[in-house]
Amino acid sequence: MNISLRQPIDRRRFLRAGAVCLALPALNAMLPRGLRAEQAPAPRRLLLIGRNLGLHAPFLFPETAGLNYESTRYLQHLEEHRGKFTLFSGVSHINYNNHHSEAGLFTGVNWSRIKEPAKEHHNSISLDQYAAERIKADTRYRNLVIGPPVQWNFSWNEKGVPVPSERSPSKVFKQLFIDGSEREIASETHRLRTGRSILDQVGEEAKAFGKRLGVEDRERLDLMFSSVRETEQNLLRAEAWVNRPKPSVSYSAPKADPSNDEIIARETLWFDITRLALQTDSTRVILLTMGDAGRPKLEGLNLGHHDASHHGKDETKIEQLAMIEETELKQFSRFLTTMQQVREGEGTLFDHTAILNASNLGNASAHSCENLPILLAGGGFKHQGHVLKDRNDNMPLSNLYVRMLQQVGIEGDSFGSSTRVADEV
Amino acid sequence: MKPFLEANCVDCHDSETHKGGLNLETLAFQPMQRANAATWQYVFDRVANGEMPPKNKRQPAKNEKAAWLNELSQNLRSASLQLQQKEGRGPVRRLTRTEYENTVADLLHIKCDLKGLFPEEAATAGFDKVGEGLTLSATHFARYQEAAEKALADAIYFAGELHHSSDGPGMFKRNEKTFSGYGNWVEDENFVLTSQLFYPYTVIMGPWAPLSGRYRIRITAQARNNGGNPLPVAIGVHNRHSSRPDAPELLDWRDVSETEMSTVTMEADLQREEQINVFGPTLYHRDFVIPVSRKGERWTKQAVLIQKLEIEGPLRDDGSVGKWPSLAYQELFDHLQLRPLSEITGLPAAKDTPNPLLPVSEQPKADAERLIRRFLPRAFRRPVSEEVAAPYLARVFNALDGGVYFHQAMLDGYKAVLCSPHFLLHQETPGPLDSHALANRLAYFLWNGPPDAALLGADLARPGERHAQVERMLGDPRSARFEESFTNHWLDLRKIDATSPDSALYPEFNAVLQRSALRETQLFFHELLAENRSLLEGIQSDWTYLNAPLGWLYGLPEVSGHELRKVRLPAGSHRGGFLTQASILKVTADGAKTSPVLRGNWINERILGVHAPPPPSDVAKIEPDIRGATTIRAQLDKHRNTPACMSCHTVIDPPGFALETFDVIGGWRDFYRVPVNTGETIEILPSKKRVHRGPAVEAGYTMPDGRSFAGVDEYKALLLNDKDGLARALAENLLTYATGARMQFADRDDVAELVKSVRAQGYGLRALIHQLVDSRPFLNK
Repeated sequence: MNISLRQPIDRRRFLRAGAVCLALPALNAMLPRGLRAEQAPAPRRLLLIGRNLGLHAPFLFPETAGLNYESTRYLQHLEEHRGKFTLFSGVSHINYNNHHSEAGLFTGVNWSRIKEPAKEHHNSISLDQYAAERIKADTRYRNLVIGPPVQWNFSWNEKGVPVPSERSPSKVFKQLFIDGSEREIASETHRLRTGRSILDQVGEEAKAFGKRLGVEDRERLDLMFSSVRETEQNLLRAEAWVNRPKPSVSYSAPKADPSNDEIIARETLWFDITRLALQTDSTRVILLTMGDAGRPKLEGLNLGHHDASHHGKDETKIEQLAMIEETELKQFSRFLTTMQQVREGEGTLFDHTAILNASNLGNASAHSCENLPILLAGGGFKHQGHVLKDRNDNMPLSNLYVRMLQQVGIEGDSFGSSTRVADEV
Repeated sequence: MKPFLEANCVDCHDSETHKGGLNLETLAFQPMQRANAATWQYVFDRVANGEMPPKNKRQPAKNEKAAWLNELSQNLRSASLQLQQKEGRGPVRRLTRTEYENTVADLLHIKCDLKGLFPEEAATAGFDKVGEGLTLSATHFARYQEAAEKALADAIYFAGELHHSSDGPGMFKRNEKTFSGYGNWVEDENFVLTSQLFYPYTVIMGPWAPLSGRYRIRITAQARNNGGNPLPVAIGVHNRHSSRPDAPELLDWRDVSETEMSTVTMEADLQREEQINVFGPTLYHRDFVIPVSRKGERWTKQAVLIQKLEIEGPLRDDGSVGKWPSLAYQELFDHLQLRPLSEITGLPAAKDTPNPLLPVSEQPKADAERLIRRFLPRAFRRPVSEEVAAPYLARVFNALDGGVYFHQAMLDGYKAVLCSPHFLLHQETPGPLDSHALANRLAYFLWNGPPDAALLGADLARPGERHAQVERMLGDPRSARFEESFTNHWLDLRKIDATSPDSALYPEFNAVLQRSALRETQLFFHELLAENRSLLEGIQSDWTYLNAPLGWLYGLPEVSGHELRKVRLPAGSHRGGFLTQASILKVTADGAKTSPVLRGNWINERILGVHAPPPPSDVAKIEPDIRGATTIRAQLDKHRNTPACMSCHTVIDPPGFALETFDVIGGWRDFYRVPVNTGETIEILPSKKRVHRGPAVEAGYTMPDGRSFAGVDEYKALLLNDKDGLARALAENLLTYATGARMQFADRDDVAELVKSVRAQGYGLRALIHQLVDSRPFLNK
C-alpha cells in the first residue's frame, strides 16, 4: 500500500471522479420505471455533534490512510461501520488554543476574534445556523440546538450571539412528539399571535431606547434586534405548525431527565431523540452538544472526565479517560446503527444525513487544538476510512465545512476560515 | 514614549520575534479603542510590576522608567476617563436571570421559579452581572414570554391557603406499612423515626403546596438515646417530577433536645407540586435498623420522636398567612369583582382543571387604563412618560375592542410589560446616573432586585441620604439576596455541589457536611457585613461558625449539635478566615484530588486580586508528563521547570502550596489518601473508618518575592503584611459586582481612594460598602 502515499489526493480525486461516472447511471437504472421522473429527492440533513474534551489521540488515529486503515483501540468500536465514515487526522482550526476554542469549533472564525477567554467574543455564525438559514424545508423546527450546555457554547447566530442549547431531553421530546389537547392548541395559537405582536413592540421600543444611548450601546441593541427577528421567525413557523398533529413515534416518553452522571442513559436518550427528530422530518439541522461527562457512574471509574483528560501521560489516568471515551464511542456507534436501520426512499436515514462528530481539543492534556478528532459519517459522502493530512501543517477544518454545506445542497466556496473546498470525501 | 520602548523592549517585542505575541514596533497608541487600551495596560502593568524587562536583561535607568510609566499612565487614564464619559464603563445590560426572577417576585409578590427557564449565565470577570457576558439570544426572547406567562399564571392561580397539622399517628398512617416495615413505630402518640433519608420509607411527607410561596414548618420533637446530645430534624423539598425520587433535597435542620419535647420552626420556599419532607439526617442507616425490626424487636439506639407537624402558608412578608385574593391578585386587578371563568365565557369548566375566579369590569377601558398606568412605573422602576405608556394602553384597548375578555386582555397587556426592554434592561445613560438609575443600581447591588418606593423616592444625590438608604437596605431581609449572589460568584459557592468526592476515599463526606460548609461561609460573610468587622478577618479570624460535623472535620470535636453557632477558635486550629473554610477548599478541588495550580490561581484572582495571564500559545504545546514524578510538588516542578512557565508559576503556585495540607473536602491532612493498599491506614473520626495512607504532605513554599513560609498559618500572616492589597482586591470585586462592568484603568485612582478611607475605618466591610456607593464609578454609568 505504499504506492499511493506520495500523491494521495490525486489518486483519490481520480477514484472519486470514476466512481461518480459509474454510479449515477447504475442508480438511475435501478429505479422502478414510474418513479424515475417524479421521485422527490431525499431530504438532505445536517447533524453536528460537538464534544469539548477531545479523544485520546494515540488510541484513536491509525497510521495507515484509506479504507484499509489498521484498526485502533477506539476505531474497533466503529468497525461495523467501516466504509461508512471518514476519520480525518491532521485537520484543525489554525492557531486555536485552549478550552474556550469550543466557541469557534463550528464557526471556524479567525482565532484573533475569540482568543481572549475573558473578553467578549466576536464570533460569527456557526455551521448549523448557517445551514438552517439556507435549507428551506417545511419542517416544524428550522433547527434544534440540544444537549447539556457547554461553557463557551457551540452554536452562534450571524451576529455572533451564542444560541443556547435546550438541556432537558424530556422537554425536547414533548415539544417534538406530544400533542396538546384541543384547548391547549387553541391557547397556544392565541399565545403565538400575542407573542409576535409583543415582539413587534419590543423592536419599536428598543429603537426608541437606542436613540438615547452611546455608540457601543447601539451596537449592543443591534445584536438584540437580530435575536428579536429570529424569535419572530420561529413564532411564525410555530404558528404555521400549531394545528398540524405531531408525528407519533413508538418510543416511551421520558418522564424525567437522566442525571448527569448516568452517561449511558443520558447519551442514549439524546441520540434516540435526535434520530427520531430526523426520522420524522421535524427538522433537518441539529446541533447536539455532548460536553464534559462530569463524573459518570461507570464500574471502576474514580476520576471526573475533565480531570482524566488532564492525564499528563499517566497511564492510570489515561485508562480512566479511555473508559469514558470508549463509552461515548459505543454510544455513537449504536446511534449510527440505528440511523442505518431507518429506510428512507432508496436508502436510509443515515445516507441522507451528514453527521459530524467533532471536538475542539486535539489533546486535552496539553490544551492543544491541533489534529482534532473529526469523524464524518453518512450523508452520501464517498467515505475514505482514514484521511491522513499533514499532522504538522494541518488542513483548515473550515474546508471540510464548505464540503459538507455543498453536500447538503448549499452552494458556496467559503465558510469560516476556509482556504478551499475539502475534496477528500 | 517611543525612545523608551526602542531602548528597552523592541529587542524581543519586534516584528520578527514578537515574543509573547506582542509586537511593540507596530502597535499603535489608540487608547480610545478598548482592545488597544487593554494591550497598553498590560504593557504598563508588566513594567510597573518589574516583570519586564526580564531580570536577566539590561534594566532601564530608574528615573527613565518612572518618567515613562508616569507618562503612559496619564495617557491611559485620560483616555479611559474619556471613554467612560462617552460610553459609560460598560454596555447596556439586561437583567441576569436571578435579577429577573427577583424583580418579578417583588413586583407581583410571588415566589415562582423563573430562572430555571433561562440558560445559565456566563460569568465575566468573575460575575454574572457584567454586561459583556449578558448576551440576548432568540431563546431569551422566547423564554421571556414563557416566563411572563408562568409568573402571571402563578399570580392569579386560584387556590386556598394551607393550614396543615398532623400528630404522630396521623403522619404514620399516611404510609403505615412502609414505615413499620423499615423499623419505625408509633409510641405514646409520637412517630418514632429510626433511620434516615430513604424516600418514601422513612421520610414523613407533608401535603402538596397549593400555591407557590414561602411556608412555615413547625415540628414538635425530641431526641432519644444520643448520649444526652441533641439530634437534628431536617426538612427537604420533594418535587412531583423529581428525577431523583430516592431522596429529598436537604434544605435546613434544627436541633431537638433529648430531655424534653420542643418545637422548632423553619421556613422554606415551595412551588406548586412540591412538598415538604421531614427526616432525621443523622439517624442510622436502614440496613442497621431493619434486621432488628425483622426479629420483632424495637430499635434501641438513636431515634427522633415526632409529636406534631404543622405547615402553613403561603406567608406574606409580615409572616401572616396570605388569604385569597392574594397580594399578587390585587397588584394586577385591585379590588375588581371576581367571577368563575365558566360564567365569564359561558363554556363549561374543563374537567381536569379548576374553574378559576377571574376579574370582570363594568367599565373595562377605564379600569384597564387605571390598572396599566399604575403597573407601568412599578414594573419599569421609574416614572413612565405618556409616549412609553401609550402602546400598552392601545394594546389592551384593541383587545377589548376585538371582543377579548377583560381578564385575558389585561393579562396579555401585563405580559407585554414584562417583555419590554424597559423592564428587561438596566436604563443608564453615559455620565452621572439620575436618581432613578441610582436607586436601581443600589437596589440591584444590595438586594439583587428592584428598588422599592422609598428608594425611588429618596434624594440619592445627597451622600447622607445614600448612607441612610444603604443602612436601611442592609437591614432588610432582601439583603440576603446580595450576600448569597455575591458569595456565590466571588467565592464560587454556587459550585459547592459541582463535585462529589470519592466515597471510598472520603467516607465522612455527606450532604449534611456539604450544607454545613456552605452555611459556615455564608454566616461568616454575613457577620463581617452585619457587624462591620474588618475584611482582613477574611484572611484570619479567631472565630467562625461551626456545628458538630464541621467540628469533627476541623479537629474540634467538642462542638455539639447540628445548628451552626459562632465558635471561638483555639490557638493552632489552622482555621478562621475564608481560605481554610471547607466550602472554599472543596470548590477549589475536583472531588478526587487537589491542584496547587488551580487553588493558587483561584486565590490569586479572588482574594489577592492578582490576575496571571493565560499560558502563552507556544507553551500549551508542551504536553504535561507526570509519569515518574511522585509528589504533587515534584510533578509540578517537572512540567513547569522552564523560565517561560516559572515566571508566572512563581506567582500562581504559593497559595496553592499553602493549602496543600487540606484535602478535597476541607479536612486537614498530614498524608494523602490513596485508593491502593499501602500497608498503612488513616483512621477517620468519629466513625473510625479507615482509608489507605499515601505519601506525606510537604507543607510550606516560597512567596513570589522569595520569603518562605512553613505552612498555612505563616502564609496567612505574610498575606496580612499587605492589608491595602487585600482591601483593594475585595473593593475591585465589589465594584465589578455593583456596577456590572469590569475594572478599568481610570478606576484605579478611585479604588485607591476607597482603600485609603477604609483603612482609616479599620477595614470594616460595611464601611467599604458605604464608601463604594459614594465613589465615582458607582455614581456614573
